[in-house]
Amino acid sequence: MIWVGWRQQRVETLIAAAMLAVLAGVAIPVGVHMASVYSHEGLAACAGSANPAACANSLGSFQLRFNGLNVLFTWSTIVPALAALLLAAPFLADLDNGTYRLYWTQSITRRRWIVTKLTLSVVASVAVAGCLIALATWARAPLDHLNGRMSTNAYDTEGIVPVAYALFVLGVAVAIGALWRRTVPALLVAFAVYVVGRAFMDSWLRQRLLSPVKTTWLANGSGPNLNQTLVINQFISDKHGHELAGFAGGPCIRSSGVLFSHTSICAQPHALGTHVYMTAVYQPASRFWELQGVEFGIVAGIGMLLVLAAAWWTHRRIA
Amino acid sequence: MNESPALEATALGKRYGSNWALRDCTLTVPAGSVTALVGPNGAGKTTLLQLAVGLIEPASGAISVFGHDPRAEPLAVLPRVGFVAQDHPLPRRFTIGETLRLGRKLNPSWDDAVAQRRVDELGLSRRQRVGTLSGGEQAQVALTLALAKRPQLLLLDEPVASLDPLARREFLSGVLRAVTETGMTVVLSSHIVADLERVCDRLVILANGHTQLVGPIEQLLAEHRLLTGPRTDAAAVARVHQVIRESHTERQTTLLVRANGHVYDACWEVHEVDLEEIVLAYLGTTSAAARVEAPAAVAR
Repeated sequence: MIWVGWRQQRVETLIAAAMLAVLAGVAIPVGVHMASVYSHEGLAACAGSANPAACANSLGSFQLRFNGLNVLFTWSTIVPALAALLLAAPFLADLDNGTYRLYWTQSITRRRWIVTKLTLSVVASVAVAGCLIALATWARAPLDHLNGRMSTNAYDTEGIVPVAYALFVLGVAVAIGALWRRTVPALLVAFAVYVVGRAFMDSWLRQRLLSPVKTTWLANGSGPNLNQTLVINQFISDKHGHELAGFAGGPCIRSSGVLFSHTSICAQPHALGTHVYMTAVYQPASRFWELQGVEFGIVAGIGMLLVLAAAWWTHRRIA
Repeated sequence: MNESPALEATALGKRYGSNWALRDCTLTVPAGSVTALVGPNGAGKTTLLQLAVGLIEPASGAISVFGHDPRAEPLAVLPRVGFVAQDHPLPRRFTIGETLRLGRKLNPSWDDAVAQRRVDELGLSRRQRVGTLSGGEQAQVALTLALAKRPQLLLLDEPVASLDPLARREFLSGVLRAVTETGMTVVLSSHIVADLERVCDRLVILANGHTQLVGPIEQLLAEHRLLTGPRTDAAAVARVHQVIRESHTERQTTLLVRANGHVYDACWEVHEVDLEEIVLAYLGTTSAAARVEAPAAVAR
């Protein structure tokens, strides 16, 4: 049955491999080039501690020059999802066009057919996500060294969460497909569910997975280094960290260590004297793996539950 | 016969929602017979065959294949049964060679010589892709997959419905040849009666989820008679024989009866009937008053 299962998803696996190859074809030359620029200009020394003024220029131009890689990997998060959709397709197609009746009436149990096919899909989907993680982690190393891995373009392609999303998409696709038994509509709906789920996690849920750190400091004093953290909120506050109302323009957002000044208060908080405080709510960079673990548990858990549900439904309900 | 029958259904029923696709179906298919399962679309033929191979589960009653429950003991049933589903589904991206490899991988009793010989006889090459074959060729490949399994029971669901007359003939010849070579039991469903007489020796008529008639074709042909005579009420005849269908014109009455012995009444002209007429008569009764009598025909 393993040969049969493999033969059925061979084309899909090759397409997924081709997507990875195209990505690698772009990322590897750029990554090599970036790494050489990085070491040549001695930028490693600029990372970490509050950026010395001497570094600011070269760092800025370096970030700008290789921002394309950020964009590339932001979009590449879709590769494991598309691969998982493709790899779900052979299972769905058998249910859709009735060939399951052929397989289930050979001399094997339907349980064996279901387990083999779904296992092959899961393994291939995880492998594609794993390849993306390896590629992103290697190619983005200098950027990650400077910016940390808490921003979405690094966080979504490194660590372990890409595997979780691959399993999630696969689970949604096979579950919908087992119920609906229409290949293309099921895959389209699964993709829509993925996009919505992903946006929800990136923009809302991830910040709340772990209770964040809250730090308050004197506005004209020196605060914590928020460079590589995931900043959830930052605002002018009183001593106890309560937001001070009346400062139009909203909170002052920090990104990559640069204070964006929407209001004069953000730009010159010391103008208000010594009683104004800044408060930041954030996930420190040290929580990367902890956050990834929690997110993986939730997303991959849902994905695997859906795969099992599809297996159960197919085994019990489909005739 | 000391072995259990190839197929045995006891009060078998299958329901989809509130709709009974098959109800109270009791029949026996003796080993070595070739049974035609005839009925209009939606009569329950596919349901019965899918129950036999364990694709679906009965809602009531029981079905056994060589004495085994196909759902409870799939591995006791599946290797002994060759099944070609309606529209003979095949993996379209596979080549014929890969399709046969699939059969070899999934069936311990696979006989590659049988498969190869049939592919050669069909004039096909192992390298051809299944999706590029004609409907008739695909049906033949599906049959090859089922036959190379060396089944003791071959179940064919509407195997010729989508084929043109020539392909239909060739397909049935393939079945017939396999039967004479191996002595396997065959159940094939069809809503086309033509051609079946050449291949089959037993008949099961299904309509509206009920069996209407079960028996050896030869005996059924001998029992059924068409009576024509002056216009009269059928009641007198019905006391002795079973009237399946009656029709009246102004002057004449025509009865198709299942005769209980000889028809002695001299006012009737007695004709022999062919299989197609019998089938049509029984399918016609499903909506007529005579339907009440149909279960009696079953309980032979």
